Amino acid sequence: MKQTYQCTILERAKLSDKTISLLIDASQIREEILPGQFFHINCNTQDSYLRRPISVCDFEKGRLRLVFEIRGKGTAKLAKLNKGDAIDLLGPLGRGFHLPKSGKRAAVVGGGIGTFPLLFLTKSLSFPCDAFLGFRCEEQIILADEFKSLPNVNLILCTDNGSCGYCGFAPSALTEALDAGKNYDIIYTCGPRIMMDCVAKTATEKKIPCQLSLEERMGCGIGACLVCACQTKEKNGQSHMSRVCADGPVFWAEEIL
Amino acid sequence: MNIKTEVNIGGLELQNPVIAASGTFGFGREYGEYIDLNSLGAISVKGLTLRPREGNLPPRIAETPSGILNSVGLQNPGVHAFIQEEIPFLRRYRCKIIANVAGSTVEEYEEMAEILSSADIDAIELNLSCPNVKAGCAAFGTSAAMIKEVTRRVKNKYNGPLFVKLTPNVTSISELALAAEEGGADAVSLINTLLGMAIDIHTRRPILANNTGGLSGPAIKPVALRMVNEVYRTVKIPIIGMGGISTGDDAIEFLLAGASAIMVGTASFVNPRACLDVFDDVLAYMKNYNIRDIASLTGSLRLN
Repeated sequence: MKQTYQCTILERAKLSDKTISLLIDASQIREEILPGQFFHINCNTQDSYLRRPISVCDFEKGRLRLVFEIRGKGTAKLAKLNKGDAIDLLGPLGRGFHLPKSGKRAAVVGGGIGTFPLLFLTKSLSFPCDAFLGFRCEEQIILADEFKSLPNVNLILCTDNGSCGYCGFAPSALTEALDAGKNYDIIYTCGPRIMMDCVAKTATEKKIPCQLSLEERMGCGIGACLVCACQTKEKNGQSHMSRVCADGPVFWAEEIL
Repeated sequence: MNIKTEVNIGGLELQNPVIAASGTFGFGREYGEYIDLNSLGAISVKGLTLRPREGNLPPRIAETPSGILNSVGLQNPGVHAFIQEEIPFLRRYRCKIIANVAGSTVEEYEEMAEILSSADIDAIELNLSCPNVKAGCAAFGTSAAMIKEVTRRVKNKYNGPLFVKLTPNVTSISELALAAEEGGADAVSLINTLLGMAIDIHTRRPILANNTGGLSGPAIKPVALRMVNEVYRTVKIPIIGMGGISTGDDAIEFLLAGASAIMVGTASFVNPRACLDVFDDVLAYMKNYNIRDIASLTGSLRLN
């Protein structure tokens, strides 16, 4: 039987004013944890009754890392947790990224908080990747050192104002790389919907398989309540309401409407 | 100590009075990975319509103090897919199957009742009160005359236990319960969600794509309890009580107020074991007070 887990926080770090990293002892979780999956976290407050879905930023040797931005009352409560505190996790949940057994090079395109789950993804790939990670400005860049330390990852930082790295949005950097003759076996993207739609459009034009990790307000997190709906396309071309939590959060570009 | 937990709800025999509420539990498949469905009294399945429905656009949920607003809009695979694909799965378990049905015309309710009368279910719960679909069932649920009429006509098509789920979005819920009783309902279930709204002050728009939605969760419990008690003092048929139940204490309150069985809904989202935890706590209460028959709690509230 699946269950919720009471885990202990091993480390807490503040990565920016609004970004918190929690390292959690997840050694009791026997299920396989895959990149792109998420945990549904109990905030234990009356103001934020529902759990909060937070994607896996990293997982290694029984240690789970969750990085999240303080957005509202629920995440503000989670941000107050400290080393040694218990955290109530439901998961791992959802369909993660597809990891091809072989390939020459992948591209990952992330924006803002959407870059966090891409760390575990790039670590899990069996071949090299170019990581196009976009942030508003230099001060908002998060986790860059971790991406840089990975031997398989060629990091291309992008900032909207050009304060660091490529000046412009991450999808533009991807398009320029493709125009310059780069080729990718697969493209992954996570971030604002408008950014992901851009990446998916480029990938589709170039006939490169592409996966998007979607976000939606969730209820149960396990596929029963049908609140986190997104419009997808069936094989017969008909539109269908899929569940971001259970059918996703990762979808193929051609599945999305 | 021997504790009797079996209850009879208008002809439906339940091994215990804890039922998973419609719309919060799907068809049991997902929660079946977290709890033993054999331990539940029954599952009231996701609201069924004659034909499959895709439901409303997202966002379909907004969090509110101690609760949530939802506007799923009855997304479901339709009554035929339910019979073919979901009943065989649910029948592997001991818990009873309650088919929650929603129509947009009286004829649709009749047609579904007819289809379900030859299906392997244990009871029908008429959803006359979904607040999230534009045409249809909410309109039935707010008129006593319509409730009586729909109930009577469905009762003619379906021989099993028939429950009518009532909306709280009316002036007098006991009037509606009486209409259901007069129409031949074997029990009433209450309350459905309270119509509400949540607003994003930054975009100056409602959070829900559908603008309004149904409020559920602990926030509505006091309203639900009052209504259950009011209905208990009005009708003779049994009551299935619900509205914000997340602990055994909550469930006991509903039984005392007049419910013969209870439904656990939104609480499952936070605690997938909520139905079982509620029942365990109810048993502990009974042991503590030396209560041998759970049915003896029903309506034992003494008003001041």
